[in-house]
Amino acid sequence: MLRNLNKASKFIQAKSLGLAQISSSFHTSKALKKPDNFMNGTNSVYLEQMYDNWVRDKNSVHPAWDAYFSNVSNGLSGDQAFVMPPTLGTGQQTISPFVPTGQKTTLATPDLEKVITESSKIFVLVKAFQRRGHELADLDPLSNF
Amino acid sequence: MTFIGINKKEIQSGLKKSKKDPLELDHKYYGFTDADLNREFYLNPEIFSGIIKNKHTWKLGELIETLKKIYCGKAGFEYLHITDIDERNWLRDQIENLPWQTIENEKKLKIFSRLCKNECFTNFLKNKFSTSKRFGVEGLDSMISGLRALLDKATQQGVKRVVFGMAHRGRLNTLSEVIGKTYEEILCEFQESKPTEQGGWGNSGDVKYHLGTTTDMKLSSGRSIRLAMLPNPSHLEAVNPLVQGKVRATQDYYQETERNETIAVTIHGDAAFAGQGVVYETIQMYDLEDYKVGGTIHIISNNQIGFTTTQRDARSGLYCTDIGKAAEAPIFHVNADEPELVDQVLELALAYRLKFKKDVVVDIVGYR
Repeated sequence: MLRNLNKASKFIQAKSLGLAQISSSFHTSKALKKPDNFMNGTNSVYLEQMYDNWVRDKNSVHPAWDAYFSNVSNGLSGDQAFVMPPTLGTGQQTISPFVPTGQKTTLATPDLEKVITESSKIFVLVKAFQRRGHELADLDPLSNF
Repeated sequence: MTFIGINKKEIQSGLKKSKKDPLELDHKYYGFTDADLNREFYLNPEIFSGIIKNKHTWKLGELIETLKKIYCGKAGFEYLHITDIDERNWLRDQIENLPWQTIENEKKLKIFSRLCKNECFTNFLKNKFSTSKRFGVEGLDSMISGLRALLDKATQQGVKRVVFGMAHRGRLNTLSEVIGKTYEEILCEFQESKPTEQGGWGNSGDVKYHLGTTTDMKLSSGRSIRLAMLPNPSHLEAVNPLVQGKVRATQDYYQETERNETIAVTIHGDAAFAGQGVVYETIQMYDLEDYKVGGTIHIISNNQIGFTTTQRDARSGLYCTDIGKAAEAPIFHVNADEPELVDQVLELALAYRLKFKKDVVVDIVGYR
């Protein structure tokens, strides 16, 4: 237990340089765009717990955390180590640690983008009927005369 | 159709012309083409209620047809102005289920016989007292059968007393066919002779189309319900606060905590509902601790004209019911030529009133 705690605090120490950098530029757009912008002071307790668990058992944390911690312990910097889960929201978990090749991972493929756009349009259409459908309703008994 | 020298169709379209067409109901507005109508789309909005809650794969064309059937049929529904999400979800479920409700033959027969009885009474008065002012209900006959259906449902739900307030239009028909005032009494009033012993109207000395009555109606289920129609104080809509007062007093007297045993039903003319200040003054008290009655059912007997003033010249809004939005009341419009639908919509209004204890507006669009 004590050993693990020590490891956890070592991890935080190792990251503290980057942490200071992030918090100093927290409100700039650059900081917000940083992929590992979850690295800030308010999350430190959660982060330590995650790391603690990961050291004990790699499978006890979400694969995304596993990937991140593995990358960091392999010597990558924080924003390089972060991997956006490519299957976010589909319920499948197929993430494995990898060394980035410089190409950015994007969330949506062009197909997925189209599907999302079309579904949102259809929701707006459904809502439009609920809101304004009555204007096309046939309410007037004399309309046929 | 030329109607008393006016082209009726021009009057009807006058209001709608001034408003912009609802473009967003056309799939082309969203960049879909006619070819897309046969394509299947997957929708799973989890938090939504209504038709897309249970069915997730829709062809675009099928979805639009279904929505048109629900929202652009012979009834129109306004409910998205309500803030409370539970109310909206409940209403959406009910409304989107309405076109698939089956109406038993027994019920259709009931509606038919009620309409016939009402028609006979109207014709009798027309022939016997042709020079007398009657303010008949012709053009809004389905309101009478609808009110009866409302009472049927109300007794099933445990309502024990209903207080009505209404103006002159259709009043005699409502008194005889809904409240159960006897023909003897009404005809005595026409002949200006003494009323029969039971009931009677006291010494109000008012014109016959302003008189009220109270009856205990026995229903086939064995239950009885007390119905009261307040005398109309001869000023449009002035009866509204009186109905509220009577209902509140009754509720307090019977120590009703739920306010579901005595309910208020007010019937308004379309022009008066949009034009008279007392309508708002009364409606805005719907949630005051010392005045609330647990919601009023407002029914508009909409003859699409205010004495001689057309709709376009009488109000700025599209509907005469817009004031209902101030009380966050759901507003249902229904074509008076669809008696079954009028029944369904009124029953829905009652269910809403009993569940959420708020005002609800039903606009029955007829003519005359």
